[in-house]
Amino acid sequence: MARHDRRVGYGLPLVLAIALHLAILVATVIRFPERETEPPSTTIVQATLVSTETTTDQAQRAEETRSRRTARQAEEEDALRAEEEATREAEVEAAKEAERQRLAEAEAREEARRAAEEEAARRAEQAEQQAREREEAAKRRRQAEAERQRQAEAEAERQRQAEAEAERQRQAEAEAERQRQAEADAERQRQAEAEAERQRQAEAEAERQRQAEARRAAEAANQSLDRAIEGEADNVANARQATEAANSFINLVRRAVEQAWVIPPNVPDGASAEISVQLGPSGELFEATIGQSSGNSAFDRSAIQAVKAAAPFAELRELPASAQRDYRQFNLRFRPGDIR
Amino acid sequence: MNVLKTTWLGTMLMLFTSLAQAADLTIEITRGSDRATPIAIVPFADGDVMPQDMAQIVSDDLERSGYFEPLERRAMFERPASSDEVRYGNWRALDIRYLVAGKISREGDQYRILYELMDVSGESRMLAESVTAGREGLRDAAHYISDQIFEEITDIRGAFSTRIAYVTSSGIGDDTQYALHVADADGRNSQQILSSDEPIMSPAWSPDGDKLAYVSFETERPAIYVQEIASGRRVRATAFEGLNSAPTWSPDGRRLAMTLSKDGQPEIYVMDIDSRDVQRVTHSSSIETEPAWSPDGRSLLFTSDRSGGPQIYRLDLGSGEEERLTFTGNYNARARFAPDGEAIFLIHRGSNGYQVARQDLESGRLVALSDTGQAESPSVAPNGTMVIFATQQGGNGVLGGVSADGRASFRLPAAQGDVREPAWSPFLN
Repeated sequence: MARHDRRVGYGLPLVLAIALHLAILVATVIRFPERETEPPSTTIVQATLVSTETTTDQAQRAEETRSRRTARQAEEEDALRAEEEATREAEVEAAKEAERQRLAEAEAREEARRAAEEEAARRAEQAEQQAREREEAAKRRRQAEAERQRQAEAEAERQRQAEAEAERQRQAEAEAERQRQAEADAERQRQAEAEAERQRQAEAEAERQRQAEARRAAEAANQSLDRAIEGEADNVANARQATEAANSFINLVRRAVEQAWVIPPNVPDGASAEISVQLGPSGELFEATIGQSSGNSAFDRSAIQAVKAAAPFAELRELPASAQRDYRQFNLRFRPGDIR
Repeated sequence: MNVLKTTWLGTMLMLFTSLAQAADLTIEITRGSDRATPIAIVPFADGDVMPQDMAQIVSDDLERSGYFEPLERRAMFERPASSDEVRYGNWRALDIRYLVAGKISREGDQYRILYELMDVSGESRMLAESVTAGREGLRDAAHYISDQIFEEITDIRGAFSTRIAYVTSSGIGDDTQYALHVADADGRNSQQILSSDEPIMSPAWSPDGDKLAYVSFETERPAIYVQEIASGRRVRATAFEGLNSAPTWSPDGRRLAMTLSKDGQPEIYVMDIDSRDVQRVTHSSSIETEPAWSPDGRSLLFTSDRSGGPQIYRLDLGSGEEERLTFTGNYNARARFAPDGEAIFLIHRGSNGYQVARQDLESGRLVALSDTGQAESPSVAPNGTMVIFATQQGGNGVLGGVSADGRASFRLPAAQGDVREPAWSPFLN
């Protein structure tokens, strides 16, 4: 009990030791009946051997049956006697043997008890040692485990931090990208708006110019009309021309030249001449040259004369300033239509 | 060096740009004014009273052609005698395209006429020439000047120095007198070369302009005569039984085509003038008449009623093949070739009656030229620009003219009596 008080861990080894002893004891008691049944089993082995002999030589068996039958009868009588003798001797011998065995068993039991106690002590000691070692190992394992865990946690912590850092960075970059795009978008929008504004202004300017042109043309027409009303017969033509200029400079040139063109007689069919015309800034005729001759000098001359008679084309100045330059140079293709 | 190169390249670029721009805008001019070309013939300066108003003759010639519209003298506010004195701006303001100025000096009984033709818009002299003529030759000199101006401006040879032949009749009934006349192309200087109290018909000029062939009934039967104009000497070419009519000279002057009915009905015959051999060239059962030679002498136009009414056919003298040419309307007769052979002039009966018409041979298109409804006997000027014809005015026959494109028409000054059957001479010089 005192030991129990001191060491709690010895209980289990003690139970084990007692159990071992009991097991040995039971094993010893149970072994006796097994030893007593052994002689019958020996005889059975002999009988088995005989039968084995007979089975091995079946040919001889029929020839030897008769002699064996007589021999066996004699042997049976001898055997009965010998058996009675042996039974008696065996009984005496068994009684002595039983006594020796009882002593031996008592000694063995004592021996076993001691051995078991030593064994139990040794096992207890061993178990204690193992327990200590296990305790120690567990402790080390725990420490190692703790250490691993610390390290793992540290590692995880580092990883978390790294991930967080990466995440922060990604977010920062994404943010930066968003910002850049937003700025780019804003810039594009600013530019588009500026462009649209410029275009609006240009269109407004063009519209203003157009209106100014139209006003100027209308004023010119009105002035011409006024002059015409004042009685100058020539100004009637000017007024008409001014109104036409507001519509189309080209139509005016065409009309003027057609009006001035006197087609010479007997023009060959399909005759066509091209005259290159260059105007001065006020629509005055700088030059009218034959770009492509009709092959008929009278026809070519009539075309040149028509241009010269139709000039100057003062309505050029009523075109928008930018267009004036474009209309200062053009070609006139003279090709009579249906003349008889 | 680099600057030079750059400048050069820049210049070339500008040049090409301007060329490209010039090619950009082309305005089509397909219609012209209906007016004739405005021209001013300033009265020629002279130190003497001239028997003829030379400038007026020229002006009338040009106006009659239909292609010129001479400026009235009272509208001229300067009268230059030479190109040095011309202020072009004045004439341009009047929209005058051409200007003729001249001066006449007298050297003995000869007149020396110096005339100049100016292109007003080009401010340049196109022609300057001196012409000498006696008193009787002044009209001819004026017509010659007209020819030179016309040709210089139009590129077409002038036909103002040519002549016309025509037949007149005066009186009524049995007292009717007939005469054959030759006059200047403007109707002046007329000269009677034959008179008869029987009808005279179908005068025709020989290609050299020296002779006339005509039909005279002076023997009370029609016969064809050939007469030298200058000498008045004449021969009777044919006097076959029946009709002897419508003689015309071949371009080589060696043959006469005519209508004879000696074999029954009127058919076309060709006579060799030297041998007087006559050969029939048409062989139909209908009436064939009014032959006219093509300019190349290889074919004849004639009128036939084989389709039911008079229509114009062409006979190839080499192959003898005949081809109908007119299909517009149901009356087309008295055809004459244009000098270039590309058109024919004829009398066409349309909605306005009998009109002078022109048919283009390639297109077959027929265009009426004259506005009168009683035209007959058209005759074409040798330059092809005008056609004269006989028509009626106030019950009298007169001569009318129309330009070949129909833009201008005119009347020749009235001769005495009824005027018919004009024939325009070939070029005479």
